[in-house]
Amino acid sequence: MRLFTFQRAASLEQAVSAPPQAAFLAGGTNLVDLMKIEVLNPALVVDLSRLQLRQIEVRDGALQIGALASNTAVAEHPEVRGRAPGLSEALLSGASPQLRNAATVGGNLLQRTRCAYYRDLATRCNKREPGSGCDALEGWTRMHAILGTSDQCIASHPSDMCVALYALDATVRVRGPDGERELAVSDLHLLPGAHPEREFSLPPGELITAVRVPLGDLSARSRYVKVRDRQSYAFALTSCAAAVQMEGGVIRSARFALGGVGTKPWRVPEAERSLQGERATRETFARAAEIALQGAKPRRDNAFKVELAKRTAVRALMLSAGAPP
Amino acid sequence: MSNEVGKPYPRADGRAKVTGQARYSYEWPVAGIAYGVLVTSGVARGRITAIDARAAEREPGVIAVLSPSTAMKLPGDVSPADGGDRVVQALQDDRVLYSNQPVAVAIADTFERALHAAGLVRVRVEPAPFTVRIEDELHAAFPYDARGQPADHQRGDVEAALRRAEHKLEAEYETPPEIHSPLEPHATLAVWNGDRLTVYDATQGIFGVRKKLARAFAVPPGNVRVITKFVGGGFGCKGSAWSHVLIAALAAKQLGRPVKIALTRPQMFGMVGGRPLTRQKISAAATSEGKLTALRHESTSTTSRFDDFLEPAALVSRHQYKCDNLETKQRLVRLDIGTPTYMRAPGESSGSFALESAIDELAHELGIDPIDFRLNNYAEVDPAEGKPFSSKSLRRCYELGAERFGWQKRTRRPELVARAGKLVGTGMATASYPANFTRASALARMNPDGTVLVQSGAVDIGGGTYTVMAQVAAETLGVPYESVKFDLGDTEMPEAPRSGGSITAASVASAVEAACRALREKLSALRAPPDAPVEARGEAAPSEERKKYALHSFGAQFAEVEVDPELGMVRVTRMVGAFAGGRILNARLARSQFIGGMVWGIGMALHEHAVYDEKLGRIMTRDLADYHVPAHKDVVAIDPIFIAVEKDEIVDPVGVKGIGEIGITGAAAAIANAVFNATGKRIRSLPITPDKLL
Amino acid sequence: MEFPPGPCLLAFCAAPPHFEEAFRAELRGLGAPLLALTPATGTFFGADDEPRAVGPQPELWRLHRAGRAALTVVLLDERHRVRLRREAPEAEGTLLAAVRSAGRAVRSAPRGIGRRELLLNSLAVALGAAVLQACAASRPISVQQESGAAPGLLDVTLVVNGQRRALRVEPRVVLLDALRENLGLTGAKKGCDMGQCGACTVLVDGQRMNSCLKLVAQLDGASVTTIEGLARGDELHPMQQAFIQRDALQCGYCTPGQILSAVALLREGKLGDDDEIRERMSGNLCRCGAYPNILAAIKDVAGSV
Repeated sequence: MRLFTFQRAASLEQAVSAPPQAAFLAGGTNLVDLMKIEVLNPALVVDLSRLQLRQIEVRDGALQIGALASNTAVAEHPEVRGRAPGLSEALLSGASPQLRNAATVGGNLLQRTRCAYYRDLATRCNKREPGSGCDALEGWTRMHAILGTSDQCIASHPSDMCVALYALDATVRVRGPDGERELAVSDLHLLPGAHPEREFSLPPGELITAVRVPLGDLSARSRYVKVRDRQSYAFALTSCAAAVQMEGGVIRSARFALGGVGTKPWRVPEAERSLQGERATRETFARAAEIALQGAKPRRDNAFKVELAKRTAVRALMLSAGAPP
Repeated sequence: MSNEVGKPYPRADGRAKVTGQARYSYEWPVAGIAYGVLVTSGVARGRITAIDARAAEREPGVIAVLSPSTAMKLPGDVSPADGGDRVVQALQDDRVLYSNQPVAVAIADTFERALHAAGLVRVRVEPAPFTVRIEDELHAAFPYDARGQPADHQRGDVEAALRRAEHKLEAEYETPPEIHSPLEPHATLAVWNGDRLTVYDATQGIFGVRKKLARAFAVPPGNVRVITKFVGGGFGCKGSAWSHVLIAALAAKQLGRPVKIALTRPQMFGMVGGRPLTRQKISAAATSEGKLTALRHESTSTTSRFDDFLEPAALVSRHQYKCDNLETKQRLVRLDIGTPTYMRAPGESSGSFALESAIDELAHELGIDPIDFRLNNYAEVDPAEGKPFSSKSLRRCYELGAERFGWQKRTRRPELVARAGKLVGTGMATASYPANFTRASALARMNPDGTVLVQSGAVDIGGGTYTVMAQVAAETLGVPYESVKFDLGDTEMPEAPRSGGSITAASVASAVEAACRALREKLSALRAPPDAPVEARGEAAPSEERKKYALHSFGAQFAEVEVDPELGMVRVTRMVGAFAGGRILNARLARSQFIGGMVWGIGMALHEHAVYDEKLGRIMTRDLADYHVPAHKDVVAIDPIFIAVEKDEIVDPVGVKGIGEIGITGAAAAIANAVFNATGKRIRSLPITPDKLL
Repeated sequence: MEFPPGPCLLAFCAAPPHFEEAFRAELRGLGAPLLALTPATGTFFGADDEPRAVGPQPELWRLHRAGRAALTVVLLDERHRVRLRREAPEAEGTLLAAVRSAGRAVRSAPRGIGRRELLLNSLAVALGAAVLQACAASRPISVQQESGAAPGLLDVTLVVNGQRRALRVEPRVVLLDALRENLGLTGAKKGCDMGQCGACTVLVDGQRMNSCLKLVAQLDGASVTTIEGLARGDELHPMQQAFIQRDALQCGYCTPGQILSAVALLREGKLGDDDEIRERMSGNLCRCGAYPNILAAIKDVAGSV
């Protein structure tokens, strides 16, 4: 780790007025990890951990979650478990209890990819060093993305929580020097395109302060399914957060987002719309999954993800549809 | 004589370990210590043309950066000291031979400073062509002897028998490269005092390390002391001194202060061994009644360009089943990789996957129950050479295991049994591992207060050496276990072999028994109770008698799996292993060893795979998030049972066979056979990951 | 205040010395704290602690039989035998220079005890005992430092196993290394150094966390429990006892992390079935495969609560 200056932010205002090159530190499970292997090397680290941003409450029909609430606290909160179980399941399927105790919601939203090439300074990576090349393209791609990729980057998004937040139409509140704004969580993460080094739509100095998850029938039926190489403590090969609302024996509305397969969590509105008015059967869901996987560009080691992602989506949708009202 | 052997005493070093008092190599408090962190190559092959350490050396607290151009030349001989020793890279020349090879070391006054400095060192390598693909070098595969047995061995005429066969099987199996991944990274702390060197090293073999260091630094072995009181797992990768051991000692000498180096977790992938890739082929023939008439087992494994090491997967077929026409072949292929090494049950674990899967395939095709098929071909004498077994209780193992497991006789096609949406399957396999024994010595001392100290320079890698040797000593001396303390892990103690190859219990227990018998004789010759300590030494070595027998442990493995039919995830829901390992020294600790081996079987079957990027020649699964070993949720009900006393007076004086490795043999095959039973899919290439079952 | 085990450096100065940050590196290199004495004052200075006053030590001064030199430095080894005694000439001036010189001399000192050392040993035994006694009677005060903390170093106070420990470290130091290398608490283990194995698990404010990913800088005032803090004297914590009884360990390297994780797990409450326990312990890898016995140990303790 390079030497850096460490500052504790005593207030949100102080944090927000930090210089643009400052890195914000919350739980440290992602930032400290990447600083140790010198993938990220901020000269200034601003510690947010003393800020009062840990609230988890229900207000105006939505979950209001402070950016510094720990993954554990959110996953186990009765309102989350009861009214957005898919979010709880997603959180509990990620990492380990130790990591979840330290990791925050804000940090989870902004976590970096797990790509083994990104994390290896001896290989070429366009995200680390723009224009240097990508050794993953011709390399070991089992854990990489098949959707949202470019010829510059195929790194998959590693978060489970984000997949659930996408499916639940969550929004993110952000504060910057110019004040506060709210954006859809799906607008937070950028596709790699020609600039994989640009990962977030937040300009420097903007801080996530809270996440808002609308609650209702859909969120109450949400579920999360994760497929991985080990029973626990492993990143997803594929995953899916799904929420299906039934009425009169047919689907009234549905949401589903895919994990493990995209450079960001993957949600295709057309696939969701195709489910409206249909019966909740494997075939229906398989057709929707097919739509969601359109445009997939598999590589040598991850071609299986196309089929596996479809099946994962079907499983999550079936679980959600069968969930009690 | 008290009956202390066999009793399930809790681990003697348990208290030290659960309180955090047990000291591992990196943790010894030494004044003036400096921290070393290795710099490794990102290039797979070539010559170092320049090393720019200026930025590193400018950092606060950095003492030095040593590289082939600045490191001292080792005055002695760095070539392997014996067959168990390996060729290492100790900054002595500018060659890069594999990716992740050490090429420099940064030394600083704190760990953080050394780690950062290592990252600042710029190494320029002129690259050379390389390959890590076995396909590229198969044409150059060569025969290689292993364990003193010739690479090729034939009995009868396999080719003719295959031609005549009523039923034939020809199948290829593959086990991937694996990495031992003990929880404790390799670590060496070196302290010089003039020309005397003390080393605290995370090793399985302190005398091997001593020999290597003495040779390399051209000092008498008596000048080198190696101390290893506790080591955090070995499984074979700490069985020889790797590059960092020499580099730590070199740095300490050159800088005139103690230096300690621990490998980072990514550095443990490539430079400290692993199990190599094996490509195996089984050709077998059987009659309709299920009698094997031909068995050919061919195996090719990979090694580095600079040091030959063979994974002897075909050997298992020489000992497992009765067959008049038997052939085994071992081939080796050199690639631009780090040298592999012994990894828990080398040969038998990888070979039993192929053999026991093939047997299962044959049994299935013939509609014969897998256990019955194996009993039909039970070897009463060693198939390869016709020698009698010193002891063999395999029939009893099949019986006990089947009963404990609730094995349903299987004669038909796999029935797809479902349980809560998952497919359920069962499978079994034979387990076997040689009962090795080598020279060892021990010292026993009776104090005037009646307490006893026994010493041998063995290492306890988790098998319970601290405990069981005290039990052997107590029983031999006829004193209570509580009055005996067994100490180990110091080259000032009598010489013992490296811990591995399931060899420690047999060899060291025999030496302990000899020392205690000698002590007993000395004591009985005294007229009055002694007022000073009385000491005796003992040595044990393999008898000539052993050569006339085949010496193995045997067992039967059973596994049940649940498979998600759509998503492909496999979970081993229960395992039973029934083992016969000679005399069991401590039932509680033995059970843990068997469990450990069986858990390794789960990892081998479902999780472990060190993946190489072929273009870069580099292992890309370089941490514990990408290289999976079983986590707690992967391990459900593991139930080993064992025959408490399998009498064997030939294998060694105490009748112990060693049980650290047999638990993994046959386990992966039992699981793979269970997956077939559940799904109808035969997977011949490990690990069995969800994508293979879609 | 406790006199820590291990070597100690004594400095006899004519006037109170000026403390510098560079001392820390030298003391760390020597593996020894410093006791700096003037006829009227005494200050105890560890590599990572705040300096604390221990009061003047007239007995030590008497034993020292101060010579002409303005500055005498004596290094005692872990058994309080004199290993080195240097009277710093005027040219060496500062205490730092004298300490550095002592350090160099130690590193090149030949083995063996010479006659000179034997003579000094008798002095040292008395000296050592007096030092111990003196330090036992000390009380901590804050020391005014003219220059303050060197740029880039942070002052952090942790309460480790109930004891206040002051650290002065670079911001990049993580809790795991602070425990193992700075505070001598090697119970927490480094398995991967990147949050993937759980061997470094400790309790921070009661919650289990991977200490390898926690910057000490964030933990000022935090309470940390390590494996060394579980037992009460000789009496083992029930979880430690259960691990021994069930043989829930083999090589022992993952064991401290497993035990602390298990203790935290039980405190988290809502213990479900066996599979739930397995899931919630999955952040602690055990390569030896002791999992079934670990589960049994946890259930033993849970059942007895």
